[in-house]
Amino acid sequence: MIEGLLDAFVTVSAPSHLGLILIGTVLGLLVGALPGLSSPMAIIVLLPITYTMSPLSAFEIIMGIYVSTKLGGSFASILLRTPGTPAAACTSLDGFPMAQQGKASLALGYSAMGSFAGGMISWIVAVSFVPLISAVALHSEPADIALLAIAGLTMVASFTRASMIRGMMGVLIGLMIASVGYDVQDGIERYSFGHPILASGVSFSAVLVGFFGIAVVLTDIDMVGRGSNLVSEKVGMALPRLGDMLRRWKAWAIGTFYGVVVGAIPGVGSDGSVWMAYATVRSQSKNPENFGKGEPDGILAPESSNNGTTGGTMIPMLTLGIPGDGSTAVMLGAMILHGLQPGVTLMTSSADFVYGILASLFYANIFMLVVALISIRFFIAILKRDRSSIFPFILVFTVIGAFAEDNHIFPVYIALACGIVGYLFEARKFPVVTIVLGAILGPIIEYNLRLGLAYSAGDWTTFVTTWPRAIMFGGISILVVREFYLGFRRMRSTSKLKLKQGEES
Amino acid sequence: MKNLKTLTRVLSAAVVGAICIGTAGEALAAYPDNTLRIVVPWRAGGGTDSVGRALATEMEKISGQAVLVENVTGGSGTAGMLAVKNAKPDGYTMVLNGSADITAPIVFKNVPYSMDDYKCVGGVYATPTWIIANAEQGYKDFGDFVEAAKAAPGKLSLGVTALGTPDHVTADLLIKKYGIDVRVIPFNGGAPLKKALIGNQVNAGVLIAPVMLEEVKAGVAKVLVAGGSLKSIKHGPLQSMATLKDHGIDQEISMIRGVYMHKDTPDAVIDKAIEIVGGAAQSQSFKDFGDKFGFDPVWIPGKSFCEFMKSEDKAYRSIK
Repeated sequence: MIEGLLDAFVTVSAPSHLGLILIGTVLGLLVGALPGLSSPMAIIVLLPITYTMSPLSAFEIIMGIYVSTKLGGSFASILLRTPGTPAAACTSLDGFPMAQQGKASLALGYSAMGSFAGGMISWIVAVSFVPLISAVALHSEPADIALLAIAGLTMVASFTRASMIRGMMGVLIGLMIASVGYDVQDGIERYSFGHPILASGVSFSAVLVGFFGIAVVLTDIDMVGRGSNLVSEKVGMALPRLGDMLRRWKAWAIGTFYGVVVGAIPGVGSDGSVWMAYATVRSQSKNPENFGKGEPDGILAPESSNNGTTGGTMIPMLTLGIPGDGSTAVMLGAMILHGLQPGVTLMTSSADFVYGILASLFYANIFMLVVALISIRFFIAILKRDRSSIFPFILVFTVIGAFAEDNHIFPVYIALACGIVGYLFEARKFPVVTIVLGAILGPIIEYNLRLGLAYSAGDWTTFVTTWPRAIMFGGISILVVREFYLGFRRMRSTSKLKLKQGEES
Repeated sequence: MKNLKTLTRVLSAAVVGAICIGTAGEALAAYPDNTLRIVVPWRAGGGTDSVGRALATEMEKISGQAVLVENVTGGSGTAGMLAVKNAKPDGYTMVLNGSADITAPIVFKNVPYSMDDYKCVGGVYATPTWIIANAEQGYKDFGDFVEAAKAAPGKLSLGVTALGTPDHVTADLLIKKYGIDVRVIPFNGGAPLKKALIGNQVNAGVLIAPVMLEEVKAGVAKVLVAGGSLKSIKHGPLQSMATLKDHGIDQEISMIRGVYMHKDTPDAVIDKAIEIVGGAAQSQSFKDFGDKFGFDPVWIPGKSFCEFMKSEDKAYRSIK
């Protein structure tokens, strides 16, 4: 194992190979930063160009893209409040306020460092514990995944801005959007109104670019005519110091932990893990009230978690041929096109290729950090530009993003509808993010909950029969009870306050 | 005055007619003289998509025109089928899709098209369904599975990739044939079912060959029965695998991936397209692609391909 990996490092360290990884990293950062363009899309577009290359060379570019799109997504979140990728939506919670305070480059720096820490640690964990991670990937059952996603949704409901009622409403709207289309277990059409295109559900990327791209442009339309005057030259180029990173170790350690675990379990993906990391770090923090107002921990947690999934997803993909997220699903297709047979035999039949991918992943993480830190200056320059020259681009890319997922016009209408609804909600201080979260986690919960019940022939006790499930179930119960308790206490104190005010007036 | 009107009418009709004949004639003579578009109704990187891209490369060589693969996805394949139904019937837009991916939605779902909306150009890949079990289950063949199911009614689970798919039909045919009581569990696609099979979480599962061929080669999983002949699979020991026919079911359940065009495409254009697609399907490099894919390609030209589609449609209606 170590010998194979060292050999691979020798191969990949050749300048021509490093060059390919670097190209992939730069491309990935751009693709990630553009709202609507995603990593699977970029890999698909590049595939025909890589046909003539060796499989490893092709995957060096792909690894670069995979790793750095994750970071690039957060750049748009921080600068424009328009996440470039679904997982980056969480980063905008604290990233955008920080940028508004004139500390945009510091926020971008924290994002880059967080991503690097997450990516590197998860790489080390993945390479050190290959058998353990593939065992987790293989033996995680639908019931486990359902509980994990429910835990995520519960954790997030606790930090929604404004009231919990609004948060719950948002999640429910998201769940409703997600339930459109054929239900997998019974084959019943839901909310499709007999429309064949709606029968397979609402395109998730359209919902996302609608709520985050179009709605944000509509909301911030009053910024047209001026750039951000908040970025002064002085604070413009401050990067986080290593000491600050070490002081905030808890945030990125927790983030990375969630990333590796969730990445290893096929079917959840980083879109979910970032929220769990954010919620945990927030509840662990000494000053949770700072979150949402530009707290660096609120950037480090989701970003480290986002890139933390890269190591986790690699192992089931390489050892079992099972995709953990959308990008790895496309990668498995790319392997077949390059004449490789992904599956349990890949490790033995193409060991050089497998180790080469792991070595490329390592370099991609380093390049990502270097490229990101160099390019922060250019990204800041974008922020300083007049919004009237940025917003048209965002709108164009959101439409392209909605269209390109299916090469079909219908998702574009969905994106427009979601954009307008999102704007109206946003204008009334409704936490739009909870809608998207419901739409992300809803299908994962429904599908796995019902599959878990199909496994157990309808026996609900399946959700507590193993130790990990019992622990997760207990954790969720505690969270819910605590939430109710706190809610009642808050209600009582506000009603007392009102009484008092009534007496005074 | 009246005469003049009639004259103009006749003249304009003649002109329009001449233009029509002219363009039709040109189209026939020169087809293809423009970029060809193959619509794949599934995401890039999947099985049908990789067949489409390999086929397109060869079609470019034969036709001398650029051949684009366009993934028009959504509606479980409906969007791509509609894209061709609504395209101009000039032969420049065709769709590559699995036979069951077309017939099953027509039978089981409310889709806005039928087989009458398309003409068959030809089938290029025939891959049967197969039932796979983890080696630890200890089944030697499907008979063992039947015995185990009879010993524990309602206990055994049989995964399928989704409802109303060829693998669902395969499961249904066998369950009815043997009168066994097993739980059919629909997964959301091939990847999660594959994971459940490698993780030994279901007793058996139905997939479309060659999915999990590598696991079978490695001895992790075992094929119990195939929906159709496995003669052309690239793994010797499996070529003589028992099929549904050996279990007394007179039906072949295969996914034949093939090319279709708009129903109003002129016959001469269809013939030319059959020539191009057929030539590509029988080329050496498409055969080489078969080595990667795990199966030898086939070539089932227009008419016979359409007949297969009809028999498949009948089979699906019988279990509806």
